[in-house]
Amino acid sequence: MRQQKIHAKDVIFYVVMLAFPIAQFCLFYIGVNGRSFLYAFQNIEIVQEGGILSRRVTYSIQPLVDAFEDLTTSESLQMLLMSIVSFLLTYFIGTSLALFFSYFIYKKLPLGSMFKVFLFLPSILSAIVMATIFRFFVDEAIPAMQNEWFHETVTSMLADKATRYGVVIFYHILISFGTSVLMYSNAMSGVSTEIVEAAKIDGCGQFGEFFHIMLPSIFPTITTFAITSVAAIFTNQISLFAIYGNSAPVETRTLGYFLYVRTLASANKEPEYPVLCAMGLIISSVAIPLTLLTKYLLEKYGPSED
Amino acid sequence: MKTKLPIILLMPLATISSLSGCGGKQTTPTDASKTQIYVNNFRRGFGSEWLDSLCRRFEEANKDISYEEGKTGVQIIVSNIGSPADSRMGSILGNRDEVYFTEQSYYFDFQTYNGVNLLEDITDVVTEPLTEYNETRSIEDKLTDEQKDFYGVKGGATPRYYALPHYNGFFGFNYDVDLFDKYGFYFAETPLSGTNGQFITTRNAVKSSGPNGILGDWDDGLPKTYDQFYQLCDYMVFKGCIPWVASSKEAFGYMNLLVNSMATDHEGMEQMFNKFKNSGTMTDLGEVDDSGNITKLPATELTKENGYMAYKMLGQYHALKFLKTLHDNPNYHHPNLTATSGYSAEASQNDFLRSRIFNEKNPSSGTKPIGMISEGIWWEAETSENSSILADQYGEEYRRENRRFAFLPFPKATEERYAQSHKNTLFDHLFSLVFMKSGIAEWKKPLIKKFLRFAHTDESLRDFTVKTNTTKAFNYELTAEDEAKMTYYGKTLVQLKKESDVLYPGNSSSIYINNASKFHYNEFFFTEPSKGKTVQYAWDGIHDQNLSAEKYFTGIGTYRQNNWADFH
Repeated sequence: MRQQKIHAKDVIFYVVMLAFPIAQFCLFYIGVNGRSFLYAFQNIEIVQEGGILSRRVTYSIQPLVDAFEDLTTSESLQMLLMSIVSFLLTYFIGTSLALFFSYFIYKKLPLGSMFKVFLFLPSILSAIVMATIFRFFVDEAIPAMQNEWFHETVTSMLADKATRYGVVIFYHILISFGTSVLMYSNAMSGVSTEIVEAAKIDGCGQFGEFFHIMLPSIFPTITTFAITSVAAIFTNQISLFAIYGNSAPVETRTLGYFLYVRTLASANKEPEYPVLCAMGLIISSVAIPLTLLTKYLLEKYGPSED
Repeated sequence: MKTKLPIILLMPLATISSLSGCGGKQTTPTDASKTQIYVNNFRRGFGSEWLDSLCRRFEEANKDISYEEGKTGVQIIVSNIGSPADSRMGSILGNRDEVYFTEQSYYFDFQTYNGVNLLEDITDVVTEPLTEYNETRSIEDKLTDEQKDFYGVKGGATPRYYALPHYNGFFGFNYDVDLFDKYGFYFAETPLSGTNGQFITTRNAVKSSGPNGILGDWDDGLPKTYDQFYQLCDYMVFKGCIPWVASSKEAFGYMNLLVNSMATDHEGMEQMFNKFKNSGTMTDLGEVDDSGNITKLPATELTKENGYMAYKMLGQYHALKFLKTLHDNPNYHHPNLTATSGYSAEASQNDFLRSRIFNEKNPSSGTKPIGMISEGIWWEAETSENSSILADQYGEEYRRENRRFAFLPFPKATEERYAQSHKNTLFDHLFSLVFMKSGIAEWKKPLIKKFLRFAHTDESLRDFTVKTNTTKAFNYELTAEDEAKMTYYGKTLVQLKKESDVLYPGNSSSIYINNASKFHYNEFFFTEPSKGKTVQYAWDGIHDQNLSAEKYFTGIGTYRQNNWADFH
């Protein structure tokens, strides 16, 4: 009897704990994506009938055709290129630096804790607050300092065509450190001290320890970050909206930014949803196999602890 | 330590609650002896003083009337919100607010939101004469024919109304009249020979007849054509002033507004409206070569197949050329416009307000007075607080009520165009909207409708104008007493609107209803100047991409033709 009672409690606990994520999955994944999938095959027209507005819905693949055309214009291909370039820059520079910072923190080197706080700070602050501070600093403070100290009138680096993309990438890398540094340094803390000690006895230095012990040991964490980054290549807007609003310079725009701004412009305008949803479907059909391929390659060819 | 811990824990909570108070809902205590009406107001440039006045007058007029058993009188509780209703549609039916005064909100979105009409039918409110307020006209009578077509949903025996427009959203140049007077920045009726002889001096103090062509009124001496505008800018530079300031942070959107306003003024009401309803005959289409030579195209009847032709209207070219000229001469504009990307609208407004004061009070500061700002008509109301601070610091003559600013009538692109018509055409950009939401209890609907009718009496419309020094999107007249209470800016704006055609782009055509986002001002100036290159904003093309006005204009037609299939 007692055993049965415990079992019932376990079931209740199990159900309560699972209810929220399942509901969330049903609503925000199946519900949203299911509706989005349906939209991709709908043509919606608003008509005036009997003194009210009503919608006429027909089904065809026209939204997919229109979306494909929109995504294959040279403008879209340029944005696709920027998405890929931005991914390569932010991922490789960001990950390399994050790994070095994490190692620095893991080794408890001087000022390591301060590093941890400073790198995590952008993740604590709201994205808009952080972007506003950054923008104000680059747009106002730096030119003012330049003027005050060197008596030079300079164009802000966010306005200057030659520098603005670099500044955006710098900012995006800066704000991405929080989570990655925390995860990598935690993963490094989990590496067995015996292995590290043994390596030291064998004459392994700091760089050797980093490249031959730490990197292989935390490779599953690196793989996870790599996979999530690849999955987000086409939706990543590299903080452009936070910095520039809906007027980011043309040459910096990524596909993710384009989709975000276009969706914002079409918000609540149902006749315009089908093409947007069809774009999402086409992009997903490229991103999903790419993500799975990345996962496969990393697992097959990545370094192992052995 | 023990005492510190709860404080530390409470700090984030206190921060969150104080932040949520910024521009959030006001906590007016509910008076249980009265019936409440909950009003939602989008409070930005136009503020809420007008609404407070409206509410107090309605409460006073209804103080002895019972709408609920056991209660007498009405209490209106206002929530001043910083975001338009369009961005919070999902919460409209669920929250307490019953009446909305908002902008940037597209009428038809509210009627088709997730298949639900969020708006209550207010046809009776709009169409029945306001006789209970001793008026013979109905609210519908105060609308233009174009507005009636847009707001009256058809398909039944008579059009049904679900919302009304709110205020006007004109955009253009606003100038400092006191500065213009001080330096004599006016064209003379009889020019003298020599450099700058076209401007007034003590020897020829009579100003020219100005853009409206009538001697002796408020716009005398102002530039009639673009060329005169450039001459004025040169003269302002010569006199040590900065002709024009604008926000760089808002430049993409704001310059689209400016160029569209100027193009609208050039094309006139009928031609521009044809573009929005995609019908009618276009008579001012053309092509421009790289040297700026214009070839007029034959008059073209717009159809569903060739609607892109409307984007070849020459007014756009002239307006782009105008912007390009202002941009390319660094003396014509404030350096922050081109040197930074974060020069906010507020900062540019403040510089415009302060520059003359600093120049007069502290000449050694080297601050140059600024002659004009490109802004919406809401700018003066928006700066009232900063204006008061300046007055407290520098003297009463700098208080808003004592300063004189005015909205500059649009100069015409050419002498020929000026000769055709002196009339201005103003474009209403803001998608402002007033509505009562659906789902309100039956017993309460008559009260809310009564409030809506009250808000659209002539007295209430006039009161709005007096309080904000701007205009509502209706036809109504002010009294001399009203005008006496207004700033110079407000008075001249009312006068300008009276002398102008006003274009409300909303209409009931299928193309407009089903492609709403493409008729937003952010979308007007898409261009494809060369194969594979697309630019969305006029300022982006001219400033960042260094496009010529000719290339930009030609690209607009190309882009629309290539993408016309996107219009449903």
